Amino acid sequence: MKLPLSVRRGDPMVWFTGSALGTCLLLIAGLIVIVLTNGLGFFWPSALVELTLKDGSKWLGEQIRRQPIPNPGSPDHLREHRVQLKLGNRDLLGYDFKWIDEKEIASRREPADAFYVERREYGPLLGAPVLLKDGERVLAEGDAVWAALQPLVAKAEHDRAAIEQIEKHEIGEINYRIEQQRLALKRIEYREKQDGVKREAERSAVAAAVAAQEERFRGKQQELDRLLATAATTYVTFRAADGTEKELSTLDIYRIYPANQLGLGGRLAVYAGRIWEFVSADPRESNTEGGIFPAIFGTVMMVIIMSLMAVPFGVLAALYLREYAKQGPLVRIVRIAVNNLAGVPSIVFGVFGLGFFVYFVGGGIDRMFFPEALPTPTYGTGGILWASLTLALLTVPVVIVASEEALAAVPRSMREASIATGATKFQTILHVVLPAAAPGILTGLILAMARGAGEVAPLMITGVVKLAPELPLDGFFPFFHPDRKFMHLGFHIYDVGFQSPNVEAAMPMVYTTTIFLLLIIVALNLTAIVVRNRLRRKYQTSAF
Amino acid sequence: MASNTLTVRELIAAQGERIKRVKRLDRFAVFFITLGGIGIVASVLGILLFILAEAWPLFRSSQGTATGTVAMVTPDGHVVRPLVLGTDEYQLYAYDVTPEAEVHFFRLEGGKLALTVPFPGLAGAGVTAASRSLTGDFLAAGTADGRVAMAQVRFRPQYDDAQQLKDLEIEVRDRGLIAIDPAGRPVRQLGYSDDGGRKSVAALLADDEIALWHRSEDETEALHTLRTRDGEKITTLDLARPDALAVGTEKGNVYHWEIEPELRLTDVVSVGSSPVTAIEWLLGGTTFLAGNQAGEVSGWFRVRLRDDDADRTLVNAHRFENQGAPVTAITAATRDRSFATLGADGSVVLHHGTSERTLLRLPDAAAGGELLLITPKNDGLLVSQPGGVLARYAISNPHPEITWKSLFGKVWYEGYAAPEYVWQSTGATDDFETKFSLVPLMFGTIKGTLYALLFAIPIAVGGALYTSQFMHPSIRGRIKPTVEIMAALPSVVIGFVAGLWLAPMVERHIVGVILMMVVLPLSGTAGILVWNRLPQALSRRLKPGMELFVLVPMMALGALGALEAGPWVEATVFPPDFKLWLSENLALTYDQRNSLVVGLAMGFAVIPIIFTISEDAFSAVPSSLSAASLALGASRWQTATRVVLPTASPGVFSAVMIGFGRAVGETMIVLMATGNTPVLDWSIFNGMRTLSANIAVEIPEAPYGGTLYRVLFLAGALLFAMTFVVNTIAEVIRQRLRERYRAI
Repeated sequence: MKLPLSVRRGDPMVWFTGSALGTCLLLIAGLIVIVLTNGLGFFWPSALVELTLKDGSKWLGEQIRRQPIPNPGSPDHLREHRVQLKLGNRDLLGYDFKWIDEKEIASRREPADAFYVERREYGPLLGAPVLLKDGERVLAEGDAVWAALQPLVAKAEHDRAAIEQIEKHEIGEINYRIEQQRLALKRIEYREKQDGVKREAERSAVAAAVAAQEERFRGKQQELDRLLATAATTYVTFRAADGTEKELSTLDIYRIYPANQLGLGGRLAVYAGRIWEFVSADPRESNTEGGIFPAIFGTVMMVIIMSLMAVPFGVLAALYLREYAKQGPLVRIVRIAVNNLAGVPSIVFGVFGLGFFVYFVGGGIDRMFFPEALPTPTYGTGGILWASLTLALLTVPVVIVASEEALAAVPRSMREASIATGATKFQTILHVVLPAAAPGILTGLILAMARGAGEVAPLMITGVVKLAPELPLDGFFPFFHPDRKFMHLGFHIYDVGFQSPNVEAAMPMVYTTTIFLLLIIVALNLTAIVVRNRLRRKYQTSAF
Repeated sequence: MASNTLTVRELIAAQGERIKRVKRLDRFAVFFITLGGIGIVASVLGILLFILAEAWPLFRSSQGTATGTVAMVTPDGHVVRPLVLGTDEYQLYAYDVTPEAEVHFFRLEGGKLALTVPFPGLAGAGVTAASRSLTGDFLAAGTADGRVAMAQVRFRPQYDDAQQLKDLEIEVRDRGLIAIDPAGRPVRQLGYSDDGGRKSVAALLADDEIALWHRSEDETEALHTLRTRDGEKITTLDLARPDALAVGTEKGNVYHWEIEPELRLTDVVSVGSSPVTAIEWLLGGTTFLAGNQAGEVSGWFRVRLRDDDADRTLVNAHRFENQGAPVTAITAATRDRSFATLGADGSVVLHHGTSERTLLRLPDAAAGGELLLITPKNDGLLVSQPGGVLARYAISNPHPEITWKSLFGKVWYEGYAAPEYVWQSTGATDDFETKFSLVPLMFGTIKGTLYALLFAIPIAVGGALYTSQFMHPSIRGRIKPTVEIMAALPSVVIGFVAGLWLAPMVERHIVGVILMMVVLPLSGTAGILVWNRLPQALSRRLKPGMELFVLVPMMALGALGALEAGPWVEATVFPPDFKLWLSENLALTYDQRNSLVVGLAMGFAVIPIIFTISEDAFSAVPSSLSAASLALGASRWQTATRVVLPTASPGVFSAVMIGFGRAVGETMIVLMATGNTPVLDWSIFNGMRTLSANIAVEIPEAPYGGTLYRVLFLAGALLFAMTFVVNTIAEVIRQRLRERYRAI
């Protein structure tokens, strides 16, 4: 039998290789779709359904999934379905999610008085508000509660901001100053031990400073107590689906909405509010709720420091290799070696960073400049500076390779023209070669930044933490604290997704964080591309 | 002309300062850039050197130096003959038990006798044998009339104002007195073990008779008499902490008694043909060491040789370097599994019990040593010599457990039926036997990489071939950036999706996923049937090279179909479900985070690299070659496989190498998508632990400068070397290929 012509020509094989590419495309599309659908839906306020089961129990929650029930070996295998409810009320039930077989359900409805309450702890509360009290005085009951509650929730937000201002910023400042004085005292003690001279005057100065701060602290504490006393007087009682009641201070309510009464506009407002909170707020409840602002901040800051270190050094090395070194076998070997460094696993750079920057350099700085604080390390432990330097080292080869290519691409005629007009070599490089190569160097920077922002493994061992109480940049002298540990989006994904005590509740947070990490990487890329194009236009017109 | 030159000269003269400045700047720039450039390149390349330097101390030999002697003489000129030696952890005092039933405390610095305490309960009696437990400073003294007194030495550190150690407060506590032999014979040798609750005393009373006294946790006391077979003469004995007794005989046998839960003789083994002269239990009390007249030293422990064995068997797990003289004493360290042996010629050798490494042979040990002690911090040795001389040595022995064999070879660990490759760096207790075999980690690295490449190579190379050879140019410009998006995805994102979405998905639809691997290429290829039957209106617009528009929907349909058909296939082919079928028919277990998931995820990460480089290689094949082939009447496929592919094959090879390098070092994906158990098993349904993930998991917990820390640096150096070599080969191949194209 003779095969058809198209088979003999190999057309099916062409299609076969096409399938390989198709798989690639499906994989990319699949990944992006998975991340987007799982991440974007999380903030959407969907309806609350109340399921009454055949045994009489009632369950209120957001239906988040429906799937066939696997029951291998029986005829019902994958015939029946079950739904998963997100119940909230962790403090009342002890769990957040529940699978319910559809055949158990007697009836379902969407009660109008079902409210979704985001609060300070135990995850969301789902139920109907039944009673609003101010101290012992009843303010509203039943349906009237919602109307009376709204201004109180707005006031709670205001109060929380005021409390946070005192707790975090003002008392935080006092604590910071006391800590500084404590270190000063240690320094004095250390010096006394060194030379045996008593420094009573300095000691009493420190003691006076501490006393002054402690006085301020007491004042602030009283102010805080007063504020808390006025803010935390109103309580609202919610009734959950099973009839249990829960009293909640209005101060602890972050957001409340009647999930089944909202129109599209209301839902969009809740959605936008949640996204804003996610981007701008600190994490709560061991990173499973609240926002990721410190992680975004840490990531961006680390990438900036990394670029500041990697670009000058990378360009300098490239200038040497391309413009000053004698081209020969040795430079060729160095070039291959540098090129291959870009392929060395990032964890190896992490190991180097830990051994060299943290223990060797950082430990040395501690012994030399902060001996009084030892054995508590100051620089001899992971921090944003060491992490950024490690990443800079990781990305320097990328910058060197890209810059070298850019330098090589500058036409010879341009250099010769410059030299012919009497410019020195350095003038030529500074005024002719570097500007012409700038777009290419920026490309290198883009690649380096994209790689740096997404790296996690080396950071895990050089200074990233799951929860950093302070940002590396703040209002206290010297404003930038390179020894502080920091949070990072990539590590946040790993930590919340894999180290969190309640992975199921944290999953949506991981997806949304992923979206943000991807957004930042794309944004960094786009900015750099825009800059590159602008520079290219500028030098294209001015060069020739 | 002349005036012109002059003007230029004048100009130059006028600008002289500026020109000088510019030239100075230029010279400075040459200097600065050269220095900076060389410095940066050198320091970047210095990374490997630094990592190696951090790992290097692992292989340095141990150091031992004599630090002087202490004369054990009382102020009235009486030379002390110690029966047993002990010291505190700061090495301030050494103590002994003497035949006169006294405990002397000598200051190690200066050698003065600081304190003499009568052995509690033995006033005036003659002591014939004494024993000290390995940890806790428990002492026992046996008398000439068959009694045994027990005591404990306690050191309480005292600090001065500056929190510096000033002195130790010494106390000798009474722990009880027993009459171990009702007949009142002298105690010839003594073994004593005490863990605060349980106590055992073994006393040698006659050539073949041992009295064993035991008090268990519930305070019941018992006295037993143990005898060797056929009156074999006992030469040495030692008690272990968890209450086991090992006894050596003149015929070269070792008898092993288990004391709890009930007393029984479990094993009698032959250690060698010459008399056993010394026995000592290693830290942890599981392994004992036996030395004999011929200088042989061996390590033994009991283990179940097969899983279904009812009882354990005593095995000779370790053999150590011969002493070169009869072994007279063995002493174990209390921090790790090192031990020291003393020869009749006075030679002192330091060994490690697990790695069998000979750490140190004291160079200048005097002959005739009697007693031997490793100090509690593992930093010194005390040897007592005749005439009341106590010789001190300082030893530095930071990484005794590491040898090339323990890193890369099979080692017989306690509790294992045979020598194995094991990685287990930390345990729950202090006496844990660390296991630093890099083999399971290297195996895991290779396993993960191979599964990833198995998935990635066909897709990436096939896709690249299609993109460069068959695809319509108008789409090609969009495909490459799309694939590059794939490369920009951070590995933490891929790892997280793999670990938290893909792994449970694959577990639920395992059969569907396996089906998909067959169905996807088939359904794509079957697209040709649809293509040939497209309505005229459509097929006129689709040119060759636009197959993708048919392919992708077909494949998506195929994928959905495979997932849908999965449960049905599972029920009919693998009843009742796949995992049970797997364990019943192939004896394989199924982990949720397994090599299949890692292969898919890491493959995903590697595809863009292989794709881009091999696409470049295919596109760079001179078009004259393929044009000639097409002109001769070859089809697209024939041209691609017979002309383009062979020409570009070195480029494809180097692409695969670079992909290999990336997969070897990938950390986050493996960390998140496998269970990180270091197993030696090729099964695709099990996980693995790779070198890189191991570093990430363990280095935060590794103390600076410790053995684990340095072993992890060694693993880092290994990764560095592996990827660097692979990448260099790939790079050289690519450069060669580029030159070949230039020649064509």
